[in-house]
Amino acid sequence: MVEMFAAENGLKGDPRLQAISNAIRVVPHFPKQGIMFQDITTLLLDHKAFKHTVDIFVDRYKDMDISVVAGVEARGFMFGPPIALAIGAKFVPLRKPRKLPGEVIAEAYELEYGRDCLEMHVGAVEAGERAIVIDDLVATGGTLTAAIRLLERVGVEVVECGSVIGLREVKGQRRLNGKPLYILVEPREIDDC
Amino acid sequence: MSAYRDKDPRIHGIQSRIRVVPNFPKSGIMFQDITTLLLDPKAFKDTVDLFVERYRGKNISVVAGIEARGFIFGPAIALEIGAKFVPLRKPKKLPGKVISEEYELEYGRDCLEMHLGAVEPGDRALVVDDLIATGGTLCAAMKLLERVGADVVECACVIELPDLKGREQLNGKPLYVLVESH
Repeated sequence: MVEMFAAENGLKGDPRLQAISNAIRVVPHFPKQGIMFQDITTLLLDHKAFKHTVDIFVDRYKDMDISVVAGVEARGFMFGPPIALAIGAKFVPLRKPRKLPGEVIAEAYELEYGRDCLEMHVGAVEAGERAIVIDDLVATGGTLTAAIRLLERVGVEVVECGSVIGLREVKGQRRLNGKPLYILVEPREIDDC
Repeated sequence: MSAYRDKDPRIHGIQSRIRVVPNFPKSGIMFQDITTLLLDPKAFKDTVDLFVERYRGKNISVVAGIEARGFIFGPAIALEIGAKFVPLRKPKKLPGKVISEEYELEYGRDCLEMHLGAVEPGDRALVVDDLIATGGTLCAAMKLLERVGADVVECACVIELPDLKGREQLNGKPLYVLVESH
């Protein structure tokens, strides 16, 4: 699994990355004690920084023959569609159980406590399509791995996963089925805000 | 107001890409599925373009989108017209301080939340969702925005179910839709 931070992969010193990072708010102890939640809603309030975020992903993927952008409910729905629209790809929402109305395939995955499940509509994607999966933040990679599995099960080639925020991987902790992961910024500390 | 009535040539393509799923989430409901629209890049782009053309240059500073399908259309519109995007969410999803608005469901009640500080007095706002049925959710969304002093300029939905008369629930606020389904 190759993890690439934008600043170390072609965008060193790009002022857009600092603007994006500055626009993210840290909310301590949400959803529970000890978690420093990276809140992207403040990024969405900063039109320039939000546009930079989308533009960076669009520039990266527009010439890679991507026909599918998959986004995980719900914050993946805010970043995935503008990227899909700009590169001329389909947008495929990956959802919690019982939200999608048609026939679905489901993939279960582990949470810290318990399990969850991601669903995709049958027929949304076709074998041989090239896809990216977009989310706001990658932590353990459990959700992204489930998303990759859903797409691969129907014969789609997942080219890369893209995330606005990501921690530096602790060796072996994040698998993503060996797929590359492209991350714009690292999480903010509370002192930076 | 609907583009359907205006007979914009893009409407037919948009309408034809919406899939009706019978008896979802329960018997008797003909569910309007927009996920098939999202699979057609041209029709999806046309959908967003129709809204962007209507709202560009009208000094809209906020596009509020209702979780979760409002999140699929709202941000793209906001980016094109230079507005903030504000997600309106189910309870306990937003991490910061919120204000809440309760609303009636067919059976029971639900609640919509918005971050404090996201919207300022005087902001000119749109509310975006994929569909308007009874208008209960849109009404709660408008109330949230108005409570913090925003001016809700219009509600914008891809689909309207006119038989459910949601339009009449919007306290006189205008509603713009692309297609109607009877």
